[in-house]
Amino acid sequence: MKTCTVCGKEKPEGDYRLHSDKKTVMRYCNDCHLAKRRAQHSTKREERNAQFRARYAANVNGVKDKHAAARKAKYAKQGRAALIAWAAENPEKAAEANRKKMKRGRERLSDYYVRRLLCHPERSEVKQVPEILIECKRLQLMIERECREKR
Amino acid sequence: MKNAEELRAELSQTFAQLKAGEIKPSEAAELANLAGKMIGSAKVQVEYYALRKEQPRIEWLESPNAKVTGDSPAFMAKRPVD
Ligand SMILES: [Zn+2]
Repeated sequence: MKTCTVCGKEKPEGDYRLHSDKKTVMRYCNDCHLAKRRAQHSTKREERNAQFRARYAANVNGVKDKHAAARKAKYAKQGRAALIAWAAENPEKAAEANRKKMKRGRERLSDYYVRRLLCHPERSEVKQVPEILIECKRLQLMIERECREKR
Repeated sequence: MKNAEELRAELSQTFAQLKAGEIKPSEAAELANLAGKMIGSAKVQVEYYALRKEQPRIEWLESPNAKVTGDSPAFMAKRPVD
């Protein structure tokens, strides 16, 4: 039995959480711990979410890689048709995803983005833009951006 | 610049020099402008043949060593990443 430092009640050790070393128990009981967490939930929410997002972005524990692999496996299994069907059912989500993709493409000057700049799929008959043309265009854009930054 | 590969090499070098501060932005901008025009005219040709559903060889886009295209390591290093 162990006395909780918060509520002062005597409780069996099983009612206490373990420290991160997974050996020693905490000084306050689980009920008090949860009460504290609940109280913190609204005030610390943004801060904690930011922490989680940062951890995810830094790929701590490889969670991000795991998700990417899962997405890839799902795509390999279901194919492009499922994606198109999903986009048709969720036009708003699809538009948002596309906006994100374009933003990422613009920042990284991805093949997808540069190809679209050269020959927009909706305004052009070209199905296959020559690789070398994409590379030249990307370099041109990189120089222009650099010039704008230096001015 | 006889072909696209030469243009790519020129652009790649110019970008490196601009980054290193070896040339003025105005000089680099001039080449970028010229490159834009060359790319534009190549694009017009590509579009034209795509409209006619033809696949002729566009000489300017052909390179003497077409099989070894792809990014040179130096080029990849300079590409912006997130
Ligand atoms: Zn307690």
